[in-house]
Amino acid sequence: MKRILFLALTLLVALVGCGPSWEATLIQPDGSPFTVNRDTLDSLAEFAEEEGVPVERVLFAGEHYAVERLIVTDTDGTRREYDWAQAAIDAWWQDDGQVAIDGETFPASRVEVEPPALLEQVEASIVDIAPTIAAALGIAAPSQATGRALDAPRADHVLLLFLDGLGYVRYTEALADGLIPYLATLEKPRVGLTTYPPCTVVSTASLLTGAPPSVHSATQRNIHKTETETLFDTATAAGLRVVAVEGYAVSFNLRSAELRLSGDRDGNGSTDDNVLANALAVLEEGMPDLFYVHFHGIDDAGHEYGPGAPEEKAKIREVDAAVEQIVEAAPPGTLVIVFADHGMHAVNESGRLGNHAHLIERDMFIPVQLTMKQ
Amino acid sequence: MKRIGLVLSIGVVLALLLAGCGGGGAPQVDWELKVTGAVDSPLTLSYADLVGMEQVDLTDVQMEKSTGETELGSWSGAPLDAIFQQAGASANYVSVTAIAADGYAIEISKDELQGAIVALKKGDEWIAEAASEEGKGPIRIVCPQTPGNRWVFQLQELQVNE
Repeated sequence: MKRILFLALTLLVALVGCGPSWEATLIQPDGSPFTVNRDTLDSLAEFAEEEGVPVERVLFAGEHYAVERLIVTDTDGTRREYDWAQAAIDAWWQDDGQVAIDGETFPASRVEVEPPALLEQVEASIVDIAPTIAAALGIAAPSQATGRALDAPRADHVLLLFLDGLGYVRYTEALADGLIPYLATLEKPRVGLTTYPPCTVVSTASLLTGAPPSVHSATQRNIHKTETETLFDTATAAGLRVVAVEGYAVSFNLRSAELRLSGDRDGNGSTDDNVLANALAVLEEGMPDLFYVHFHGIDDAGHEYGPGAPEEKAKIREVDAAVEQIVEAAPPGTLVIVFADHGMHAVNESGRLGNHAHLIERDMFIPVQLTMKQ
Repeated sequence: MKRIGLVLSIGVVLALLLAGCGGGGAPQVDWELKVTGAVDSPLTLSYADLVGMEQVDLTDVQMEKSTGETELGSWSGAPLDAIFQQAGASANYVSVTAIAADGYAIEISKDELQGAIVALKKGDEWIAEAASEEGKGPIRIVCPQTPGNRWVFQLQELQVNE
């Protein structure tokens, strides 16, 4: 009798321990099924919050890089559609297989993604930039780079102009509004994709390593360095001079580069004028082999005033003029690469009117503009 | 009776051990802080050098985190002014670049450095030993009333800019 009781108890404990199993299917961009179950969520546990794992982390694991609409079918066959620009911020996948989107919780069975039309026009990724520069300078690409070299000629120097927060959609709007007359004279930008989450540290890690977060491990905002080899490492190992001009702080470890910070010494609330002054001073000393210049102002203005606000437009004009001065001061034979780390979408949150961190068109698409200065 | 004696002696030994741990002796830490840039004599201060300097307490200072939240804390350590005096920092310096061991760096203006210290202790605990500061190195710069991104931990170098 005791033995039977013991066995029954063991069985009960085992059953309770396992919990009900569940499985949902996420349709990948190529149409193949990606199974989402408890193991999937466990593999994403580092990103879990109280509400669960962000649905976007699952979508990204299923190789979705941009979402326009999400269509979720529950176990009863009920189909729900979400405008992802609205729903992304409050969408969670819970351990028990339930998804909670926009305040409603239900068991997911099948998840489909409708991407933005712009996805079809993508010609570049942020991970392609390091291999492109390496090929142009005739040096080795970072050892774990997964990106491919874009078509570009050999160059004596590379000027990498990092326009923080000027995503592809905003770039095209700015172009149409006449806010970027100088950038308009350069080669047409390619439609590029950044990595997820689209924020400066993660994107910078992908830019420098030529690899996705699964390789460089800088998977979220609070990780500021990577052990993975970077373009700056390979360039300095090849004997090249790498100089980085930053704003008042480095957002990501730029090891191997000579670093020049640009604090807001004139107290005018912006570091872009200080970045410009530092960049021109570097060019006067002599163009480095690889020169990285990071303007932060468009991102700052986008967060504070929102994309499209007069203050943000003024900042875009200012950065365009600064780019002109730097490119004009660079020697012929310089490959100029203008790009953004991420975009920006309008929000109405406390203290900010713009933000970025989602798998949405405005955040994920970036311009990648390659021009050879003759 | 013997048993009571044993319990008592264990109690006394435990009390002594605890008192020894919390007694405030500075830990032995292998760490150096360099002071470079616009200075008469570039300095390299060891952790023990910093412990040996005049210590200042900053009580209930507010740190604004990048998330927008604020945190009150008390810190003690060597005043930046004393460190700069020792290095002969230029009277006309406009800012300081604080560089951390992990590669983080930030330029902090002279105004924002008013009352700043190179902190060795958070509250009563040595930063080097505080669980809340694990992974953050043994010293950090504390700049009262400025956003927390200026409060560089794993501080390795202060570069004075003219």
